[in-house]
Amino acid sequence: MNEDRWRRIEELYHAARLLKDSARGPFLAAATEGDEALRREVESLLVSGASSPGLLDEPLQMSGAHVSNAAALSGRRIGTYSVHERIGAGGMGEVYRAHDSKLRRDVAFKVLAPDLIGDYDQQRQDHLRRFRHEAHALAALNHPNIAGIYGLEEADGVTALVMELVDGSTLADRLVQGAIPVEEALPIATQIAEALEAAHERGIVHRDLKPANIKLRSDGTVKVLDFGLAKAVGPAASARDVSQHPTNTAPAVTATGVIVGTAAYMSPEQAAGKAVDHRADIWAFGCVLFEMLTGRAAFGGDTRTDTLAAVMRAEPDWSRLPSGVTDPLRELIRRCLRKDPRQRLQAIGDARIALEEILSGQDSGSVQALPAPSARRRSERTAWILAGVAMLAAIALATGFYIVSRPGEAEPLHLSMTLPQGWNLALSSSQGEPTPLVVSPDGRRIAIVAREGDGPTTILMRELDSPSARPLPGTEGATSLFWSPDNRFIGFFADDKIKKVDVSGGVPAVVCAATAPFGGGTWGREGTIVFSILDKGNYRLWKVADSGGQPTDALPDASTSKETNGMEVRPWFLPDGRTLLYVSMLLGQKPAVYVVRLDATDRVKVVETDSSNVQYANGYLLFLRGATLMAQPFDEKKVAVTGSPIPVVEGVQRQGAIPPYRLFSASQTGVLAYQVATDTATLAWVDRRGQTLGTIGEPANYKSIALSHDDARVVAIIGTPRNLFLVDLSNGVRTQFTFDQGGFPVWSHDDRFIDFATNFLLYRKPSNGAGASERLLPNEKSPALLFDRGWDDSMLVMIPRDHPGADLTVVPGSGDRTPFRLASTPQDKRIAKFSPDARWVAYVSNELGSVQNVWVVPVVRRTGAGDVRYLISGGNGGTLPQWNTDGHELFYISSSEMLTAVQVNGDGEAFQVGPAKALFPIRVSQAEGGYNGWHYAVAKDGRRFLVIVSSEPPVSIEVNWTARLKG
Amino acid sequence: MPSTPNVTQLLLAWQAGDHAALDKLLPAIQPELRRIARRHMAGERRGHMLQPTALVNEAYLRLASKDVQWQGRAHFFAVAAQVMRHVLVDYARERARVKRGGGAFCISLSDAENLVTPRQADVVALNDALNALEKFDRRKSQVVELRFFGGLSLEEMADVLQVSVGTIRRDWSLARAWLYRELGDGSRHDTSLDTDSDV
Repeated sequence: MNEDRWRRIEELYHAARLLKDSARGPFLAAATEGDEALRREVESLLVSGASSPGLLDEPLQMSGAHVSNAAALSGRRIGTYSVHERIGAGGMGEVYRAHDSKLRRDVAFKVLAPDLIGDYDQQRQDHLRRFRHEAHALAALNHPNIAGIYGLEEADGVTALVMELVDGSTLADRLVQGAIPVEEALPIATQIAEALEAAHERGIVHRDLKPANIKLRSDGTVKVLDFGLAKAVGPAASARDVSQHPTNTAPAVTATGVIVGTAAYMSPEQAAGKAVDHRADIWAFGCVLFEMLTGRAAFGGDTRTDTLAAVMRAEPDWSRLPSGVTDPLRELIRRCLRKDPRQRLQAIGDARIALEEILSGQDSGSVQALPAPSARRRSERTAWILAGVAMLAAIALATGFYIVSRPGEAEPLHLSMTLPQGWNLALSSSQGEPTPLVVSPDGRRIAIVAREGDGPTTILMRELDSPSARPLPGTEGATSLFWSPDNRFIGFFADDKIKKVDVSGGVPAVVCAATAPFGGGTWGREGTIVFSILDKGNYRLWKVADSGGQPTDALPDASTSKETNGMEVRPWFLPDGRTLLYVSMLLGQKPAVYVVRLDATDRVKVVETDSSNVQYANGYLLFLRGATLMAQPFDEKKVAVTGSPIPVVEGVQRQGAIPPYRLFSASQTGVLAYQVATDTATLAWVDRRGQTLGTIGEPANYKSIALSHDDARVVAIIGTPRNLFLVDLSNGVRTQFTFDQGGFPVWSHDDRFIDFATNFLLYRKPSNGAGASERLLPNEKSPALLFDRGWDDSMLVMIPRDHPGADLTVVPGSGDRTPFRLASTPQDKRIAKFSPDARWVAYVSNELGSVQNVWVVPVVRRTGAGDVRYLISGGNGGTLPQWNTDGHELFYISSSEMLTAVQVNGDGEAFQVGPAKALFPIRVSQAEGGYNGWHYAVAKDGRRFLVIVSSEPPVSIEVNWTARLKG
Repeated sequence: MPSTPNVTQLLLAWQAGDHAALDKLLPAIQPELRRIARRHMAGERRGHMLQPTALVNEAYLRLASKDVQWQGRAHFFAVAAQVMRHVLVDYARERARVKRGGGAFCISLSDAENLVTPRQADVVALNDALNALEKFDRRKSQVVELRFFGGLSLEEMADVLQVSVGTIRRDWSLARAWLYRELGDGSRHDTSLDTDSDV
């Protein structure tokens, strides 16, 4: 969760809470401007925020023998069942072993938790009726791999499902021990597939398939539990107020505020709250298969939100699949885990056939022969992009000769590399600082802590002579990397442990336990690892053998004085493996680099620095002055500086607190890697084919732009917190326009004013920046959104009201200014723009179902007749409409992220819609998963577009960097 | 009586602007709080409720002399809330481990009522969720800690965290919503206290 995102969630949550329930949905739909993930996030918080009092609402009390009422069932007789001990409890209720005296068999007796049944009589009756119906359907499922449901028992005020009692452990229990060998996993998977196949044939979808629902009996039989129960105990159609808000696509929420399904196995369509069919089970099957073979969940995260984000966006780490996994099996899992259900394996029977063939060794390639949905190849995603010249240089570097044998003579060489698409350097972490970039001592490899989207941090390993980086398996959560002196291992911190991993492959091994936050580690030539952890309020240095063991005080004999009693972080071994550099931070003083021998009694201050990290390489001490990386000659024998510091790189990327960690790392062979902090987005003019015509001004953290009508200026949302800035397009000069947050900017027709919103209150301010803000609609208590201004100064607004749909409202610019409503369809309207003559409005809505489309509606005061509406985006999805200033063309961004132009004509009474033409790709989705603002604007000639171009700053690599210090 | 005299001094020093005093307060009151908590837990009987606020109050009366002002009391409670969080979460974790024994299937009839209750699992899950919340919004996780584990009032929290009561109220609302959602069902499956492996 990044700060900007969380701030927006917070702002929206509090604004929406001021509204009546029925107005919240439409308000959020519009206020999030089409960012579905953001809207769902806020809606789900509003739902859980409105839940009935629970655990949190009273200060905690602990009871020694807190027993729920249902526990009293033990020993009781319910109908023909005598209830024995409780054998489990879960979200649905509690499960007991019971004996059926009539049929003389032991059964599992699943008592439904009262809160799942509902509080109110009517609701309770509805729910029970539906539950009974489901139970009977499920009882018809008779298959050896399905734990049968015998029926529903309602007696003595207890409602319970009577189910087949299955002994044995669950697959989840088994997976605690780790991955399952392929030959063992395949028969299990086959039986799961058979169970699903039998159920799907009867139209029953499991909806919550996961390892905890799969039992492994000792005889090898697999039993799938709880078929269809997720639906049976899920929300009734009437459980939510659908009538008032029919377009609500929030995830299915039960009466207790529980999203049905387990996050890690939930299909993307389930997570998105869309309709679910048997293909959701196929997804879950793929997850389970992946987890069996790797021992790790295919999708995971720290929080439920993170997990769902991974489900929606991340790819599983395919490199985790063990070598025994054949191509057909790998392909089968990939097919099961396609995000788009239409691209997914369509029938579980195909999986069963494939598994049986793999098992019987036929492996005739039949999986490839399955109906093959067209798929983009993704392999290029993991490829590092290196310029061709740099490639050649890197290969030269790989010989080692060029660098190692003749340092100081070869010319310095610059390489630049970007991360694989979708990956970012991990610049923040609560568990100490990630040290996201370390070059191996021999300069042949770079290890990087990165994450894909919102995924967990992972070590990416890049050999300089190879064009691609690979994630190191088992390094999720890794931070604070350090190399072994022999270049074979990387030490890192993860899960409150120090671990090491062989860079040529293998499972990470634990060196020792350590607590977060972690202040860095270093690995000496003599097999000692020294690291810094926060202990008793201060960072101290500890040491441990690289083979493992109990850490001990790294500097047992070193005395401390008031001056040297600072926090000790980022230790760095000098080549002798006995002498350490570290940075000492003492409150109120400048951080300083100290040097100390492990067996010494005194510490010596070497130089002051502005970074928490320091290192020694090639006769130089590397440290920071401000944001500039400095190199100062350092005699490693005398352990003292011998010359003056020389600036090496300016503006080095920072991360973390004060003093920040700076992103640089050097090998002992003259390779220096660093990232320079650059703002990541630039404004550019492009033509109708997407060709860049020129860029404007300095890069900045642009989030959304609006062009003035004369094409001279742009008002942009920049930064965190979001504020408005004006950019003069003639010279790129940028001035700040709002200072206390600002969003939703709209130019007045004469460009003299900009209307904008702060905390969902509307203001108007002169666009020359001089003069105070004036409140618009000052009597309006509700949060309001201004979509656009017409040439006649009319306003296009949405004010959430207590009726469905919260229509687009036009406030005329003249006359009696009585507002009137447009397009009174019940669906949410997200974005709306006046046509240049203000006779039409293009807006975005989901009136065709779940997909957002662009529509046009006439601007007329309604007389009672139904609205005439025109579909612009053809039904396949489209958003962010903009008019060409001649009014004869509408642009929008299609669902395949192409900027699309449609010929239109609204000169007459009827609106004419011509053919659409895709112009060029435009990326609107952000790492956070949602659309994040207006990424384009149309020039008045309709031939040029102003677009936001974003990129991750590259990592710079300098080979033989010391050469330029000697000129 | 461990280190009793300086608690009052530390509170007074803190009020006088010595911010380091608050850091020293934690180690000063921790042993006493743990001792009181242990005594209460050892004596627990079925149905006996263990109230952290009562414990903290008892500790406060023992450790701080009467001349510490109201603000001092709030800060004492704030620090105590951290201790209580650790004590109670450890306690819930420990109980879950002990009572679960070798697995749900070996529990005899008489033990059934002592099974891990969802409530204890919830406390551990809540603690995990709070840790997650703290990563991106520390103040909100503090508000929950102060209120849930320390029983502080809105006004006391506002004083401790140096923000307005309105901000506390908003923080609480969002943090509560976020936590209830996180605790929905998924988070519990990820803890070692998963009790959902049924039948």
